[in-house]
Amino acid sequence: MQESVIYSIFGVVVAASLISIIKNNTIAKFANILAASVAFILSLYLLIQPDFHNSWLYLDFVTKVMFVIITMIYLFAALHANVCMRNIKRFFIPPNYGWSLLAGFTLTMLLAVSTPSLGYAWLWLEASTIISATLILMEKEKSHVESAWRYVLIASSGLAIGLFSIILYGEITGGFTWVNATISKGAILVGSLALIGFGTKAGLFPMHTWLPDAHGTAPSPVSALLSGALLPSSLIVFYRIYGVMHSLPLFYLTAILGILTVWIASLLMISQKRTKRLFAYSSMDVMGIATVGISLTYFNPSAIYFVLIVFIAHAFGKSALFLSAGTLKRHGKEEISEIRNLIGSSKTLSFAILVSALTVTGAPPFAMFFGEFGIFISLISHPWLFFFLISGVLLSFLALNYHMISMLFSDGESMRIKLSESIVPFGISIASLFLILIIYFWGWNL
Amino acid sequence: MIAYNAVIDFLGVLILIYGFIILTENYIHSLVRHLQSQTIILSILIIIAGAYLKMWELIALGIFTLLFRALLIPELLLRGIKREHIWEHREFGVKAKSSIVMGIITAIIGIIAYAGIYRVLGTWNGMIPFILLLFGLLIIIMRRNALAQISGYIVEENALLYLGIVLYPIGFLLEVGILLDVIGAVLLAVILSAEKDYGPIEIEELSG
Repeated sequence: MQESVIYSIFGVVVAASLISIIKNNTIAKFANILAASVAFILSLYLLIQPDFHNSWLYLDFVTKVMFVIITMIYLFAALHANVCMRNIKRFFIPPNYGWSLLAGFTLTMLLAVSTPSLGYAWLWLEASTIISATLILMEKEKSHVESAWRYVLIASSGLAIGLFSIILYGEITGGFTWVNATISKGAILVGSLALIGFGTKAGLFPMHTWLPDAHGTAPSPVSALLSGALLPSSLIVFYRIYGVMHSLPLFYLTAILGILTVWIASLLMISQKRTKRLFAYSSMDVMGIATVGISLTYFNPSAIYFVLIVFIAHAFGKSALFLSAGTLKRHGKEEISEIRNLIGSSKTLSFAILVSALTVTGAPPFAMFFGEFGIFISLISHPWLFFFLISGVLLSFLALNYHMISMLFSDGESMRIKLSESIVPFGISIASLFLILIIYFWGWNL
Repeated sequence: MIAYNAVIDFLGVLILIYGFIILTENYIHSLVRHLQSQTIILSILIIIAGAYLKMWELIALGIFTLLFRALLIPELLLRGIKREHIWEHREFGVKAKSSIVMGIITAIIGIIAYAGIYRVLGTWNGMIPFILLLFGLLIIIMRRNALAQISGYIVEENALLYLGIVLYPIGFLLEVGILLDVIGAVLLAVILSAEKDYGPIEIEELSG
C-alpha cells in the first residue's frame, strides 16, 4: 500500500513535469498546482501509514515528514509562482520549461530522502543542484548567471567530497545502504568528509558562500524550495550517515560546526541590505540549529524529532517570507531600506511577514520554539555548547526581527499591494499558527 | 592481476601528470587540449577495468566518457574559444610559477592527508585520484575565467570516477558519470550562451 502511494506521488510529479514541457504556460501552471495538491494530500496520508522499506525505498517517520515538507512547499511555490513570474522581464528559459524544472526539482528531493542507498541519495542531490541552478537562471541577467555558476561550482565541489565519503563508506562497509549498517573503522574520516560534503549543500559554514547569492537571485518560489526543502533534504542525508558512524569526536565536530554556522549567519544578518539575502542567512542559521540537533542523536536518537519540528516550522515560515519577498519585488522593492510602513500597505502581507519572522527565529509560542527548546534541553549537559548555541540563536532573533520591525512599522511611503498578491503568504502564516496547536497537543507524544 | 595493477597505476600516473599540466597551463586553448588527453586516458582506464572485472557498466561508462567528455565537450569548448577571440589569450591573472608551487604544495598535502585515509583503508590505490581531486578543487579556486573553472570541474569529475574505479567499483558509477557529464554540459551551455550577451564571464571570487 505504502509503496503504491509513494509511486503515485512520484508519478504525479513526473506527469506535471512532462505535461509542462509539451504544453503552454497556463496548462503547465495548472498541471503543477494539481500535481502539488495531489502529492501533498498523498504525503499527509503516508503519515498515518506504517513504516515500510525495500531495496529501493525507505519509509520511516523522518521520510514521511520530509515528504510532507517537500510537497507542501512545492504546492505553496506553484500557487504563488504566477505573482512572481510577472516580475521576470527577460526569460533565459521559457516559462513552461521553468514549471517542468520546478516539478523535476521536487522529484529529486523526494527521491533523495526516500532511498536507502547513500549512493543514490548523493546522485539525486547532485541532480537537484543542476535543476535548481537552471531555475535560478530563469531570468536573463548577468547576476543570475554568476549566482548559478557559483552555486553549481561550490555545491558540486562540496558534493564531490560527499561522494568521496560515500565511496570510502562503500569500501569500509561493503555496501551503500545505511539501513542496519555498522562501521568498524574510519567513522571520523567518513563522517567528517560527509559533513563537509553534504554540509556544503545544506549551507553550513564555511561552505555556505553559494547560498545567499543563489537564494537571493532565484525566483521567489524557487528560493522557498531551496530554503525550506533542499537544505533540510541535504541534512537528512547527512543524518542517515551520521547514524551509522556513531562517534563522539564526530558529535563534537558536527555540533561545533552547527553552532559556528548559527553565529556566522547571525552576524551576517545584521548588515544585510536586501530582503532575500537576509532570509537566506536566516535559513543558514536554522540549518545550523538543525545540525546541532542531528549531532545530539548520538546521545538520544529521539532528538531527530526536534529537528523535524524545526524543519516543519522553517518550511512554513521561510516559504511565507520568500513568497512575500516575491510580492515586494513585484512592486520594485528589494532593498530593506526601501520597504517602509508595510503595515500601511498591506495588512495581510504584514501579518504574514510578522508571524513568519517570529516563527523562523524561534519566538515562543511559535512552532519552531518547541523544536529549538528540545534541542537546547538536550544540549544542557554540554554547558559551553549550550551557552554558545543559545547566545547565537538570541543574536539571530534580534538581527532578523530588527530588520522586520523597520520594514513593517517605520514611517514612509506605502504601496498598493493587492489581496491576491499576499493571499498565499497570508494563508501559510495562518496555517503555521495551526501548526502550533498540532505540535502542542500531538508533538509531545512523539 | 600484477599486470592489471601495473597498467592501472601507469595510466593513473599519466592522468595525474595531466592534472598538474592543466593546473599550470595559462592558455585556454592548450588547457582544453590537455583536458581532452587526460579524459581519453581515463576512458581507456575505465574500459580496461570494466573488461578485467567483467562489469559491462564500466565498459559502457568508459565509452560514454570517451564520446561525451573526451570528444564532445572539448570540441564545444574549442568552438566557443574560436567564436570569442578573447578566450584564446592567456589568463593573465594566473602566474605559471605560482601555479606550479601551489600544485606541489597541494600534492604534498594530499599525500600527508591520504596517509590518514591509508590507516583506515589499508591501500594506497586511492592516493592518485585523491590528489587529482585536490587539483580540480584548486583549479576552480585559483581561476577566474569561467571556461578554466569548467576544466577544474572536469578534472574533479575525472578524479571521482577514477576513485570509484580503484576503490570500490560498483554499478552506480555509470549513473554518476552520466550525471556529472550532464552537469558539465549544462555548465558549458550556460556559459557559452551567457557569453554571447555579456562577453567572457569572469568570476572574481567564489564567495557570496
